Amino acid sequence: MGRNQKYTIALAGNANVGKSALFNQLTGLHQTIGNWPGKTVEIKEGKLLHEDIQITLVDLPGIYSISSISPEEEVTEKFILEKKPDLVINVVDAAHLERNLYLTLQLIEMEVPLVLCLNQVDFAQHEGIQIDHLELSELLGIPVIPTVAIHGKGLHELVHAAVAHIQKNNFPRYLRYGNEIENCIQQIMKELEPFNLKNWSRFFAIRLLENKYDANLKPDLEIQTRIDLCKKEIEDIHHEPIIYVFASERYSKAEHIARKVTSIETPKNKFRLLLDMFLLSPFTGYIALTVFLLFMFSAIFYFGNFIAGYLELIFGAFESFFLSSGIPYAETIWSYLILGVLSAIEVVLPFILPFYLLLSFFEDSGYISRMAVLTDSAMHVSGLHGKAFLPLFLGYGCTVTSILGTRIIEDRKERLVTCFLSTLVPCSARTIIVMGLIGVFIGFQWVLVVYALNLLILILLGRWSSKLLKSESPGLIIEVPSLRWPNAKNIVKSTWFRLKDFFVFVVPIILVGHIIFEFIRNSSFIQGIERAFSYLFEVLWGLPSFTVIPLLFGILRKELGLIMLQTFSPTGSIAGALSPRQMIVYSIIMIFYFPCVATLSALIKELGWKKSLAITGFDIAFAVILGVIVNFILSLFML
Amino acid sequence: MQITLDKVEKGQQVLLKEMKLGSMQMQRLICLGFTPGAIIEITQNYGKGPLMLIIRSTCLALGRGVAKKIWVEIKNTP
Repeated sequence: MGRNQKYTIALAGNANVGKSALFNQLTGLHQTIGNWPGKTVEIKEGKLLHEDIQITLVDLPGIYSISSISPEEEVTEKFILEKKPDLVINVVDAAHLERNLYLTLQLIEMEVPLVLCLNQVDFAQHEGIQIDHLELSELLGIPVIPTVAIHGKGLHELVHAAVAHIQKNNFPRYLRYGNEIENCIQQIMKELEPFNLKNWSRFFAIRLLENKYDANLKPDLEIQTRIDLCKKEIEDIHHEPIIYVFASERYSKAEHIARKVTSIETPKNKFRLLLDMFLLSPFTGYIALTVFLLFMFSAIFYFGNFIAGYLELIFGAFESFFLSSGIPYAETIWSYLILGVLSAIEVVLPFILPFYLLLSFFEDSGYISRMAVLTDSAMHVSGLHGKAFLPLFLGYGCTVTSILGTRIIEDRKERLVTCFLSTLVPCSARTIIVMGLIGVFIGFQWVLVVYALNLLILILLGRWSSKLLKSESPGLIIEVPSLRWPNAKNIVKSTWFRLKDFFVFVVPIILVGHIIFEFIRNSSFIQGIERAFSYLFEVLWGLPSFTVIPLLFGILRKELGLIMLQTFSPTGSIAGALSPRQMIVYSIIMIFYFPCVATLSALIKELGWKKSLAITGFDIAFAVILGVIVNFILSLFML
Repeated sequence: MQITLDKVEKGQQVLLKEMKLGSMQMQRLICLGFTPGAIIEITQNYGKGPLMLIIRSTCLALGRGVAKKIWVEIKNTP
């Protein structure tokens, strides 16, 4: 064995198979989360040392197949083809072997060195499922290592087998299709010879037969004619569309293998089944959902406010210490640089910490998909389905958590729509403004009117935007993994990485925002800005000019839109300076006009610059127009 | 006799016959094991909202709109 060798090993597998738990266990605290260029698909990288060999472990996204139908599948395929890892560890769930083997068979078709990690064997045994891993290894022609990743069982053996397999340098033997298909594959492979695909040629031949077109290859007319002839031949023999043929063949192989190696007894306890029935039935399910949601919401906000209060005290003490420390330009350094970072921490950290912990808990337990099932019908009203419910609901707390929560939605377009809508859901800071203005000075019934208007707009915009973006009618297709009690260590670890990732990205953007606004505040621009906006504010919205600055500073933190209103009003009190109509117009503009800086940076993180700026631009334009309309209607009967 | 999946009652087993969906959804379902002849067991169907089923040892939920476009045949109990 050579010294200082370096290997790259990729983890591939379905969703919900414990892949990230395996990754967390193997790599410890050295992880980097990055996006594949041009895609918002997460790829995690970590390092580990195994007997003098440095291994870079790459966690690929969870997928069910390799057919380029989703960005995740595309990224996985590209990673394997372009980055050429030394080995792929295919993580499969022992309790759902047949479905998992479909991807395994496709990976074998890609002819990469492969080791199978048969994970969650303890859970499978609990369900009465026993798998003969030696026979499975025999049938697939690759090493199979049983593991329980969350408890670290079998991991040493897994890495050992992987390294040994790389050094042996042998490729798995692929699945043989029926003679008529094999014949066609050979024909296409021959046609592909000029492309010099080496050991990928079989994979691409199958890809071309199975799908319509592969952008990487661009076969010429002659090859395409050959492909079409072959397809027709296969379809004639099988009496079904080609799209089914390969999948059917793979699945019948998977079924055959799974049946041979699995022995099933009746599960030891029925508790899980009963619990599931309770959680999913129309009556008890909704009660449980309501309880969970209220718990989640109040946990995030009680805990968040509690911590935020303490942070404020600590930061306050730090401020007076810093300012009296005699450092030159202490005050300037403080207000331009430190304050920005601290307020980012103070405003965001206390809320996203409990949020991430709870999200990981619900994700790992398998409850998230049950939540989607329960809320699916209701969400159809706004053109979305069940998976969008949780992020949007969380938006009433904090838009940042809401946008980060959209990660649970696989479909890109739906995620975009959900992100867009969540910028318009009134978060707790905006609720403070609405309550502090309308609730205090006009009456609670007007608060309800504003919220009802907001909900109506959300539904209409949801329908409009999902219609605009979608070519196909939406429908829920979601795996419902078995319920299980999550592993605390795994939750803490993934929360830690998500937090780190978030702050590295978001703090610089909030800081820049702060510096800009601090600069404006200390300059003579204020009057200029008030004048520049005077037509919009005074004529179109009917608002006094002192509201310009508080409204703009709401971009930094929405609460400032209320706090600064107090300080900037000429009479020193809001009640004397604004009429009820003006308060309503101001609040409505405040709800819609601009996601705060923290939200904007979360948006950029999730969607990239272009889409985030498009959403922001739309929000501003929408708020401007809505402000004009509301002002006009209210001015008919209100002061 | 062929019926659509949303009409199948809880506890019944059916054989998949045909899917009349857009190509994206079709692909997704095929990857999850929805191939002609596959056995599907309905585990929950309240007549509204999504239905739950087991296919190829996996539990899935399907929106009613999707289920309405999947044609199946009731499997005779041996």
